[in-house]
Amino acid sequence: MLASGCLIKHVKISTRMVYKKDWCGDGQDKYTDSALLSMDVLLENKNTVPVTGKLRAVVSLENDNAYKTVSEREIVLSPGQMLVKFSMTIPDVQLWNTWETGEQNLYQLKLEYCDAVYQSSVGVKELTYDEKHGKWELNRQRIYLRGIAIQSAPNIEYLKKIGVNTAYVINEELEEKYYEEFDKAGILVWNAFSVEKKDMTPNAMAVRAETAAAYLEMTASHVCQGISSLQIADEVYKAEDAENAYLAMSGVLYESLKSVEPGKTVLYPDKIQARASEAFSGDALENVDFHEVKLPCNITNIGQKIKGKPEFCCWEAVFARIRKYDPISSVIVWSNEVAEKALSPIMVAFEPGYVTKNQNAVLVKAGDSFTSRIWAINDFHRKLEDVKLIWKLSDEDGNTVAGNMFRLNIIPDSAEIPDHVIYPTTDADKGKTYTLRAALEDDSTKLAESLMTIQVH
Amino acid sequence: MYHAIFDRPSISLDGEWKYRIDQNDTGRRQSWYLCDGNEDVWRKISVPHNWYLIDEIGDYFGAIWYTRHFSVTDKLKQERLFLRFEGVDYITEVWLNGHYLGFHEGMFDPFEFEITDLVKEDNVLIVRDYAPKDTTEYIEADSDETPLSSPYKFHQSKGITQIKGHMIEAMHRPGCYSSFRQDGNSGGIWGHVSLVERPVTYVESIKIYSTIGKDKEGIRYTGSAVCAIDVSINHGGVEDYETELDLKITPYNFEQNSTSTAKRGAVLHPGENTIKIMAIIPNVQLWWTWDIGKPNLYTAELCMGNDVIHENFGVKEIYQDENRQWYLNNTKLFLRGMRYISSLWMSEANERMWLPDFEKMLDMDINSIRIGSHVERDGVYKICDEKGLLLWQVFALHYCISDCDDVINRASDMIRAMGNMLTNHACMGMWSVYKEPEIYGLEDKPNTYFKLCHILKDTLGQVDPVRWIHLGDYREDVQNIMIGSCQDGDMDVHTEKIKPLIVEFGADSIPALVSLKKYIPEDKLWPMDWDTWQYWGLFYYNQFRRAKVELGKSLEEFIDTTQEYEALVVKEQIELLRQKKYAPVSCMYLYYWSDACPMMGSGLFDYYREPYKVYAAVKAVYTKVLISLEWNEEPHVIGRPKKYVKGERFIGKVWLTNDCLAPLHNVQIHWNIHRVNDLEILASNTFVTDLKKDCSEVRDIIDWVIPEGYTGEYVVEMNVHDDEGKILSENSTKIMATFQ
Repeated sequence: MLASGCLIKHVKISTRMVYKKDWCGDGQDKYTDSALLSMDVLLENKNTVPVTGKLRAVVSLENDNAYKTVSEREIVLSPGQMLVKFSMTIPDVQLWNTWETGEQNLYQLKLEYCDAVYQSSVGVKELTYDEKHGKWELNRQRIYLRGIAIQSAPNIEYLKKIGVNTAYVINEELEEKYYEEFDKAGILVWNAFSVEKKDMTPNAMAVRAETAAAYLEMTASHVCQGISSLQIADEVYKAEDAENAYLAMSGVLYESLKSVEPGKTVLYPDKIQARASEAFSGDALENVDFHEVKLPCNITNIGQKIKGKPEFCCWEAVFARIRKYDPISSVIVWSNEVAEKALSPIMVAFEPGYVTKNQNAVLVKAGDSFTSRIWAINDFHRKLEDVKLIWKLSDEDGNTVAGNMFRLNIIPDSAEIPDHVIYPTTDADKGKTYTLRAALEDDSTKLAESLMTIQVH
Repeated sequence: MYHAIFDRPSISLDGEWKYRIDQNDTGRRQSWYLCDGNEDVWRKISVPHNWYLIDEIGDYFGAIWYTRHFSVTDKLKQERLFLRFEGVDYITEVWLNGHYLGFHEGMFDPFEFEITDLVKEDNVLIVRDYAPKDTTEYIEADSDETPLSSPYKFHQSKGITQIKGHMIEAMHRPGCYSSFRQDGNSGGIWGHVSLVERPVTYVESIKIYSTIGKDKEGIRYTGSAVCAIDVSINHGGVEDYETELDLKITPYNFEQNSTSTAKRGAVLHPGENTIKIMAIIPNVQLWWTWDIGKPNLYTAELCMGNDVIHENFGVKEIYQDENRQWYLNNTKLFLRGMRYISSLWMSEANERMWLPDFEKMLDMDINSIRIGSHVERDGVYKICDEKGLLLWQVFALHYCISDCDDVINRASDMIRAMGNMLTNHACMGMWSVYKEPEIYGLEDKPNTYFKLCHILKDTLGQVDPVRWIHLGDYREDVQNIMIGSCQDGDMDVHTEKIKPLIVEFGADSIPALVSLKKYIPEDKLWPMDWDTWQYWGLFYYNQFRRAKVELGKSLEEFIDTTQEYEALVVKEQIELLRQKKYAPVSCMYLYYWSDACPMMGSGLFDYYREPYKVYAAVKAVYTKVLISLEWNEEPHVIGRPKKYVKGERFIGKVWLTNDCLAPLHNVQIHWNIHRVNDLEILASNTFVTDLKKDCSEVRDIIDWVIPEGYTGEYVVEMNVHDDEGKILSENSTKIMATFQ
């Protein structure tokens, strides 16, 4: 017990970039280079008399001793608990970004009331979702979320190495300490809260909603915390339509999560989205022509349902990358193996003009032409200048039968088709196998590489 | 933390108190909180009250100290005892028997102090209420030439820091647009003061969320609902306490032989706890606005240990589609709304005021109320729950508020309190956090929209994350239409882009002479003393430059002219907006029901509930079924004579608006044209037809050449009868034949 008898029991931090209408100029809303740090501070006075004190916040930058912002608010704290708002403006704010879009600027916050102290690192970001167009924006710049489901203690460096910018955390399984690491590493967290058949009783759902909300409350202040969603299990969709089955029950979970962080996105998967998602990564989808599937904007289950067929899942993930912003805005994969091949922020990928049952190899009828588009994908918010695109089609002996090499600029945050492969086969090619390899390189490094096998029959 | 009183018994401390004005704010230094009130300087006063309504206090700004003695029996001392204030405006500090209890800032929310350990048999309560003038600077924002002296010209504040909304800064209040615009102070202990008993472990508050069961497509209702209650429990013990929550949900205002129940065990820690309990309500009876269905309410009875509380609620779902059209329980509805401010002084707002007001509103087919920028007493919300009036609540920020962090902090705490107070009301439909955040007379305006409003929305969203929270007028498809008042009376409405959410429309005029004489001295009435009139709400610029009314030769004539103009322009605003039903208008709120103070205002009734002429005009065109005319005059100006040159073709579209959710069969539509004061029909049409449900459409075109032989006014009379001959709507529009 502190001498004052006062405690800072809990602090929930949210941040907001501040815009302002340009009244004296063109009347547009413009970013002011400042942010609002908004804290819901739960204070407790264990005395039997009121305490009058100043709630004082000092915000400083780790790497800039000169930077310090201070704010105070006088609080008369009656015995018991009191929830108060404490907002302060941070001028010339340096925003937090995911690792591939910018710096992970973090501030140090020190909050004091009497002799009670709370300290935390704080980042400022704005992650918004345009539901109508399925569009994510981080700090008002569009972003493609490349995520992986986190089922155990994550290796943060590895996640960055394979290109992950979003950690998909299922069912409160991650300790808070990892959120600190994600803050520093520039990886967003997407919390998925499952709804299962066992939750479909009032008391079970009450406990489920309480637990989920408490977890979100605990992690909400971390700048990496970006998105929450309900993940409704298939067994719930398929269950008999009892009174108020999943929708009404899930509505309670949604309301509980939303009340923790009303300013952040909580995705409530509606039936259409769920169906599309299911179709995209279902059990019997090897016959599906992906060009015909109505795609959801957010695909959160690559590889969840098909186990033991990483090639197929990888193709799904690559397809989701190729369809960046058309309409896909996020892809979450469930295995490291798939993630390694499909989540790089710079990708070169093939898209054949048709899709077959066997995703390991594209089948071409002898006499027909093999065609494929070559996609170059850049998720960085900077231009890739003067990079080299090389592709080669080689026969079984390693002889190049077709190819191209040229230099190009790839615009920031894009997915484009800089070249096509067209290779006419003849009857003499019947039974042969060709390998198509493409790479993006700058002067010193290979930025991305992709491989495809073509069988002529 | 927010404490709800529920239906707990309480001991009233209303009645005779004593007070002492602290003109120089020396009371604290002189330890008035140690007084026992027996000194001569303390004078008797009855609580509750607002200072303004007490003759010997009047329009005072500053601090007033209060005291009263009360006794506590031994029985009471066995429980936990709380001192509860329903409402004090604005900053309150409280001492009991010389002990400081605490501080509260705000004007609308109840607050409490626990006094269990401080009460004796005889107790002295001291309250300091501080309601000062806001320290904002005022700027003169009007360069127009008016006969007003400088302090009475149009003034605006640079940045109000008190969170009092309409009660401190608005058009229609004493001082209105002048530099005296804070006058009419709403300070005082305006609400009941009481002692409330609670057990050692008690239910502090509950938040009820209900959601309607739907089929797997998420569209059709299954006939049941889920009710989830977040129960905030204060456990006064020092050790964990195992208990059980017992929830029972029963119909409150309808017959149904059903009870939903739930039980949940819980382990409570000392201090604050929140436990969620859920129950399924089969065969749910939804809450509807009165014009669609019944406002069915349930009572949630919650037992925890030896504490039992009751709270009413309704099950409904209200949302907007992407075109800003409103749906209640999946049924599209058009909101014929009314702004309501019962009084600037809450102590006089009670059922004797509300019930006649609301009966009249229902009589004119209003189905939605917009309250703001203030919070009414709880009784208003209960009436709306039970009468089936959907409510749009605007937080107590009106305009010209400072955007400093301190205001954000204090306003956030208050909006959280407002949310906690109101969220369980079935009538609650949507919120706004600020009425007009971007109205300032400054060239570069404070950034309240992006700072204050967004933080307030986030804070309110923690209490109610489901209902729509609007940030402030003029954004998010919200529009105010005040033609002939704040907007030019000659505005061409056909060139104005009309938005879906009309949260304010109307005009203003001069009240009846009988009312005017109650607050304007006889010698200032006529010839008008411009400063006095401006102080009491004559908007010189609005009346003479925008509405362009003539002063006339007498006061009676002037009153009549302004009221006639207001009646016509508001009637035609309504016709215009209802003709645009769903294309794009989805709701419309008249500004406003009654003047909140003695004032030349925008009410249908003045402060003394005398009707303006606009009342009858609005009543005639706010009916669920409306016949109205759109005449062919460009520019299309409303509220003015419709002038046609003799021999010109008059083309009028006859609009039928049906807000009923069922088609109307075999209705008879009739229109005719005759001269004023001459019943000879010059043109007419009568036909029987069906009206589609919930629509607004042109059902006939009048194509008539204005006869050469007459210069003067014609009347287009229109009516609709149902198949039993009952009049559904009667309306008329005058057109004027001129030489040129």
